[in-house]
Amino acid sequence: MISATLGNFLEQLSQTLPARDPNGLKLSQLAVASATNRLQALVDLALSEAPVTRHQLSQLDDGTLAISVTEPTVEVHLSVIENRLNLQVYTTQEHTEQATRSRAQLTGSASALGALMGGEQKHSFAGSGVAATGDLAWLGQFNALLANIDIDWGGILARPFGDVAGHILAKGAKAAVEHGRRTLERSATNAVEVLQQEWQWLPTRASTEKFDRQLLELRRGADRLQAKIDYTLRQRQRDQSEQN
Amino acid sequence: MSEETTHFGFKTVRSEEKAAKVADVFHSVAAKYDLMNDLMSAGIHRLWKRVTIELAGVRQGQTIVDIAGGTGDLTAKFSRLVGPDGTVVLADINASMLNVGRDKLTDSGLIGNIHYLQADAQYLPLPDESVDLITIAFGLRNVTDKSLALASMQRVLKPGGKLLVLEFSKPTNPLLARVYDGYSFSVLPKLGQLFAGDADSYQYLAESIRMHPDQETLKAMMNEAGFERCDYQNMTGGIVALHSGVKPA
Repeated sequence: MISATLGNFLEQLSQTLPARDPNGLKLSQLAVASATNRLQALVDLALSEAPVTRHQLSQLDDGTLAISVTEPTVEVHLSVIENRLNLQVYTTQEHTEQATRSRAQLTGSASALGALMGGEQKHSFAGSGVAATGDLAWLGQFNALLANIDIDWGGILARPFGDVAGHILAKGAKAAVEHGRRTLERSATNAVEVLQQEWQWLPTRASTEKFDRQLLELRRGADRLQAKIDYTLRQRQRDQSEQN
Repeated sequence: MSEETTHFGFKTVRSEEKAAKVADVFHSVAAKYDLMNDLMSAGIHRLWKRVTIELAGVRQGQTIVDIAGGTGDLTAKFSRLVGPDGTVVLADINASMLNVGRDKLTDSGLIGNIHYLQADAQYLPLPDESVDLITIAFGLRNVTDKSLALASMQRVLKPGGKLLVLEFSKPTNPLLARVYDGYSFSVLPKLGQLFAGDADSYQYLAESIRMHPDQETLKAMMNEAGFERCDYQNMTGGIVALHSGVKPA
């Protein structure tokens, strides 16, 4: 009786407790939107201090470059509108139709796209793991424009810190970025070397399998020995009880 | 309910009377609107609006209409985001609210890319396919014919343009719903009386929230109005919901 009442009460209580709302705020979507908005603010700031790039953008035909990342599934749209560059990031499949309407598309894994964008300027996508479709002439112009973007960091920093301090800070920041880039490259090379060196010390697959077989035989031998000892002990106990 | 009548809070009034009655409410609360919003929601309305702004994804040069924009909270932020090449239209049917919003934004130095429009959301006096984003925050429930308003918004949006509806909705948790009901009908009118000298308007606010379509119904209405990818996200346990829809490209 008491347990039934308690069960009833707990059931009613559980109905009133907050359950996970499937239509609650989608925090991942909000995080992506916020990050994209901040990134767009940086792009706007950079373009505001790159008059040559702005002029070149205004010369370029309006259009959208859709960058479809296959792993993980993310779609980045870079739209040229007059002398502005608009950025949108989508994580759902619903924007595939927009990608097909874009002027040019790049499709590939995050690592392949990252390698393409981070490395030296390439004149072909062959062997890069990235597929390019659409208006490739426009894509080439767009790519050249982004590669030659020249931001006046001194101008940006001069506003809050003054001309001289802004110039020194910009010079320092450029040197720090360059140092960071070289360190990153060096770190990657070192990491590869360490892995290669360490790899030599690791046993081969064949020797690991041989060791595994020997271990199995040893375990079986130990089991047999244990069984023999048990048998001998039992035999001895039986003999002793018969003598008594 | 016949076609000629509609809700005004829990009362049923003739459709042509609702706009005037709602106007009276907002004429009455306009001066203390911001203060009351902060008091009633303990400041949480700022978070709800912040989420709306983030998900709006506004870009420079865009044209945005903030319908029922009232005292211009969203417009102020949008004005900075669209930059000098963009345009934000602060639209409200109520002249008192629009005046308060205009004074507040002008005092904040926000001029140049903001336009003020006294307009009924059901009949937006804007060209077809001329707007990138429409927001309506805590305004749709006061509109006499919501379907007509949604259709009007759909008309003025550009293909691919987005509608965001931030509105009070139905709490998803029964316990929260009970607490919220008690707060709305007992505390809210008293707060209104104490700080704005007007209990009736805040009684109407509580009643109008209860009569507003729930999350799924509003989503269906947006679909019917021709929006696609309609979705909503509950905030604060469903007390408020942010609906979004896109005009087909």
